[in-house]
Amino acid sequence: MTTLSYLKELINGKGTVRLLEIIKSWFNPPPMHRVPLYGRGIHALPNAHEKELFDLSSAAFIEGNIMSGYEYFLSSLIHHENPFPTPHLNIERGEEFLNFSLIQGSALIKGSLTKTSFEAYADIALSSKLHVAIKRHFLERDFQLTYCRFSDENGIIKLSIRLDNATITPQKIFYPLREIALNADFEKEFIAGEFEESSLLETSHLISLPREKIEQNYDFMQQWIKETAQSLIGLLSNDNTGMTSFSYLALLLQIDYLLLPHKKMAKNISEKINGYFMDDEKLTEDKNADLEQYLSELIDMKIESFETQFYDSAYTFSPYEQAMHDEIASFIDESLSKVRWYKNNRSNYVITVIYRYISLYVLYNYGLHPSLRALLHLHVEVYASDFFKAAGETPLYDPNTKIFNVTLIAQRIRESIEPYKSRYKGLSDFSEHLNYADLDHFSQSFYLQIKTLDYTEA
Amino acid sequence: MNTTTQKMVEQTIESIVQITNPYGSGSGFLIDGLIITNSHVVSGLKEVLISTKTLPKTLGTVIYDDPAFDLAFIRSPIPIQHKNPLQLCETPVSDGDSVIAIGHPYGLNYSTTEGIVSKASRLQGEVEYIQFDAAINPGNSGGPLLNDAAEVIGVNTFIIQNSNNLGFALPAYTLKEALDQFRTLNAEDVIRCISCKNLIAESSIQNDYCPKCGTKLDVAKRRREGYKPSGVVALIEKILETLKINVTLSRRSQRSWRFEIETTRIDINYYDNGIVIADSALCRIPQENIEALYDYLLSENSVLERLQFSINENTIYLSYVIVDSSLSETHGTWALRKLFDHAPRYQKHLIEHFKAPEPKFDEFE
Repeated sequence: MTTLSYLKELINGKGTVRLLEIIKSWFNPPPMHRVPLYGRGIHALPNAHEKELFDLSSAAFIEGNIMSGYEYFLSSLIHHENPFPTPHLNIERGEEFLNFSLIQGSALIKGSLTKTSFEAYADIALSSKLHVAIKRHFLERDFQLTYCRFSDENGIIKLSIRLDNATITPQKIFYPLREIALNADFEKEFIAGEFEESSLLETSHLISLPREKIEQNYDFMQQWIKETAQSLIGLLSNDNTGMTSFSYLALLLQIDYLLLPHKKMAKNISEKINGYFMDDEKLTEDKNADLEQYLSELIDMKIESFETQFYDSAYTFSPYEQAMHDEIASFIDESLSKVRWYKNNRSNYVITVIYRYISLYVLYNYGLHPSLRALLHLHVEVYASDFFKAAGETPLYDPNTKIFNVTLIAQRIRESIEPYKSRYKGLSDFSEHLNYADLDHFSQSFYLQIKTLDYTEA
Repeated sequence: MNTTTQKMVEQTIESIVQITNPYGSGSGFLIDGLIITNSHVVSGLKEVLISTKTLPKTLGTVIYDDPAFDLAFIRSPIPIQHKNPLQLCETPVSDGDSVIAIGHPYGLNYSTTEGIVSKASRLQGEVEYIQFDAAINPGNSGGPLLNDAAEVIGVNTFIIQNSNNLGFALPAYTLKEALDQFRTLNAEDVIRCISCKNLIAESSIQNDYCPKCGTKLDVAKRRREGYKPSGVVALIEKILETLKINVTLSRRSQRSWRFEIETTRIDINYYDNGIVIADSALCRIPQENIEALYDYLLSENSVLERLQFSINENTIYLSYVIVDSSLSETHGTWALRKLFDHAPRYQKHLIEHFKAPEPKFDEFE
């Protein structure tokens, strides 16, 4: 979609004044925080004109201009500062047609539009090479999905949707498109995690990581596992089950967030973390033993196997629903009360682990507002400064001298808050309220500030 | 339960009625050709669905609605066959008497529980009730409480929620009094005023006020207004009527419909999250040739427009799924017609070609 075509549409329409405002805002974009590059979800900034484009889409549909309605809607999904070499969403518009393709992790969704209907599909896998369990799984998913369905078209398993345009609105496109994108990605990852992945289709958009990066990630994973094992030596398992759990969980969350594995490794990490929280019958000691066993599998993993678990790809839709801030604040509260308990019981070792765990847990489990995601990432960055230094970033903390880069931390907090201050009047830069005495004091003061952030719209 | 009790249950079961309306369901029983139930079971409606062991779902007319004693009488358009008519007990009930409750708790048809009279008389407001400990639950309302001679000693009316077996039944003598008064009036469409307790012919009511004491009669208002679906529910019912489905007989609740098309059962549910699902459980998974069956279903999904095959637990479904805001009369009618047409055909094919067993329908709904 070009600026010219927007102009053309708008000039033909009614919103001349709003058009000028939009053009003005394009030349003076609001200051934005850094592009998120870690964790699961979108590694780009949201479209700054998402709302305007969404509104233009609604208006076009009301006027019966179906093609433009879709074009505006799809344009609203295009992220800013997409770090990948190719766009994550392509739109091709002709007089009587509109085609598009979008990338969602391992999946490529292709769509086409006529005036009466909209169809989109993702090629998933070759039917002939699939295990019977996967076919059963697809048919069971068909019972659960709302908009899309799995089918076998000439030997190719597809996930597809079809929408009628008679009463179409942007909302009625968003949810089906999101469902097909998230599920196509999820199911391809599921196949790769459970069975031989050779049957998967449409994988050419996946970007291999450079060998150097793979080696660096592998070394860090090995180093973190060894450091964790070392830190737990001397702790009696029956007296320190909670401490051990925090250490193992924080480690797995860190591996997932910073290294971002896919396929079987992602599936196993997810199963281990979720299994820990969901199995109420197992003793904590046994859960810790499971985690320890998995970590020993990871440390024994050869780099050749490790390498197969990684690729880079864009995500058009976030897999998370945005959580209420109250929910996150209450998790922080609960975690800080655990910190107090361990402090009172003189278990100082685990306190730093819990502080590290809080941000990683929230980043792993909740859909976050972009500013909160950036702030919690900052906390991760402080704790994993070696990793970020190796990635070419200026470290926010020096673990040898125990000195914080106060100026850079303050700048990063400002960058996370400023773009949203006009929208959320209660948001304010809190860098001056942080305590830089040491890591524990920093974290305590940081989480207390995070807890009180106010995302109530003005 | 001993053999005598079992025989008694067997004899009385034909007199037990299931009552359904868009707002809920309950129980009832036959006395002298009239169906007795609670007022709260008929929800202020003039017509409700009735069914018995010998009577398929039929529209019954609520001819007497008595919120004061929580009673209602329903007339069936067709005489209901029952060999052993129930009788009202005319002797006093005592603490410790054995009792049996029969009804349809949570839709679990013809459930029987036994217990004893915990207290023969408990006053709640102005009305006396029999307290008993036979387990009753929502759906038992309106059903009979029987003594060991299979006589009706009360109408199961309410429980104390979250208690252990604290059930209450309106005594047979109150029911008998209401029946006598009703018959004396020799009229149908009668309401009892909740305040002055007079029986009022509905035709004499103006603006929903009791002509005797002037109290506003909520039941009169509800009966006058009837059940009027709106929005998506109305649209679904309009589509069903276009497709010649008897909407009244197929309603299971305000948002749920069930009916048969040839040998298949069709369920339509409109969920709180805005999703409308019309589906038909066609068959169960066979024990052989299962992968070929999966291949067939997935392959059919690529050509089936608007419909889809899926599996839940061990059952194969053919479904039409749509979000309420996208449901239109034209497309909805087209898709449901297709479902009604395809479901019996696919069921036959799956059973014959893949040796798939017929579906089993869960009673726990």
